[in-house]
Amino acid sequence: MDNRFFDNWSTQLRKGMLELCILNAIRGTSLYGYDIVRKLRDIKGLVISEGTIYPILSRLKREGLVRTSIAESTEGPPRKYYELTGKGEKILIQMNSYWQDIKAGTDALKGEDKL
Amino acid sequence: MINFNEDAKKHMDKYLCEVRTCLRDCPSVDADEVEQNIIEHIENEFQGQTEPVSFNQLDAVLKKLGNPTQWVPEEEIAWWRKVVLRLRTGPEDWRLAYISFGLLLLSFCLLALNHRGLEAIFIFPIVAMRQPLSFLLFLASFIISRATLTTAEKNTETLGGQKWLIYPSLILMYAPILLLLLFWHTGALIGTAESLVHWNQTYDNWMKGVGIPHNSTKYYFIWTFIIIALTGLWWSLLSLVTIKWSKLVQIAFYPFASRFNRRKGFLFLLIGIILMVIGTGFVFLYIVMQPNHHPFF
Repeated sequence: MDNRFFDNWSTQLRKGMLELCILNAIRGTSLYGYDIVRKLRDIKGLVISEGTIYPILSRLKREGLVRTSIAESTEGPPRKYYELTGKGEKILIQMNSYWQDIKAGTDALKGEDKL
Repeated sequence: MINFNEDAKKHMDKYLCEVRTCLRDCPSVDADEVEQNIIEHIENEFQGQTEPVSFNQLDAVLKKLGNPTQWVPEEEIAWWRKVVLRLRTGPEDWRLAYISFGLLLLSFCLLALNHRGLEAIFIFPIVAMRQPLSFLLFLASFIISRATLTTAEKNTETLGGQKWLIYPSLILMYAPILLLLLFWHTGALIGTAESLVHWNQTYDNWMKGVGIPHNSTKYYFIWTFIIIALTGLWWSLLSLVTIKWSKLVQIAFYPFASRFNRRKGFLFLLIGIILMVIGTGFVFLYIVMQPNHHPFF
């Protein structure tokens, strides 16, 4: 029962965090889809199924937060690279600020002496 | 370009089909783009591998990618699509079980619509035959039930709740066949007995002569034991067939007869012989003991 509660909660948390992490991963650079997956898979507990990243990228593109460009690759066929749009940059600043506020508030609730 | 062996190729095709199925009709996602990303992801995982990718290697990568049904938020999927997804991507034996039960219900409904509701329940396959479409649906349900059993057996799975969905069509098919096989002669004999009375005066006179007039209690008593004797004879013959070809019985009435073997066939033979002895013995003794019995006895 405890595990199920934790699993549900962590699943919900991951859903929101993945988009923030993807946008932060792409910020300031241009990344290939697979590279984004490799970057994020190192964050413990964030990525349970790597395939979820690709529909999120597609959704972010439809929202106008990221754009794609095709570039030739020496390692194989041309690759699709993702980078933030202007709109994406603005939203990301908002999201990061919001996340910082929530994190600060949660840390304050947690307190230094408690768990 | 990465090479896959035959099994890995099929596995990949199946996975990509699931991806397309799950993402189709999702307004926020470009299914083609995601599929392309997945293909590139897989190719990147095996970059530099010279040997063909095996099933196990590919499976490890696909497991890390995860189940496509979990990629799309549920609120984005239309309700009918959820049903279709459940049927198309759920465990195969459950899908087949749902379809089998659905066809059986549809068959019942068609019969009920044609005012054969009550009859349909008790002697379903026979009544269903008078309604071709209903019978076809019932037949399809039966075949899919058998397919479900085969699939479960192939995957070495035991059927759990699926039994409730597939057993009705199996029972409705097997029960009449079994009853017909075991007791077809009863109807024939009763018909013969009645015909003999009406069409054969010599027989009628003889029966009266031995003190067993038609429509008397004794008459029906004698014929009951004649039927028992002939049932015993038929069952003995049938049991010889089942002893010789017990596998046929297992296949024909699978899964209910899956434990049928030659030993059970011999038991069946024994029952047949006992019935034959009882029936014949009783008839013989009864007629012989009649004061005016026919000289033949």
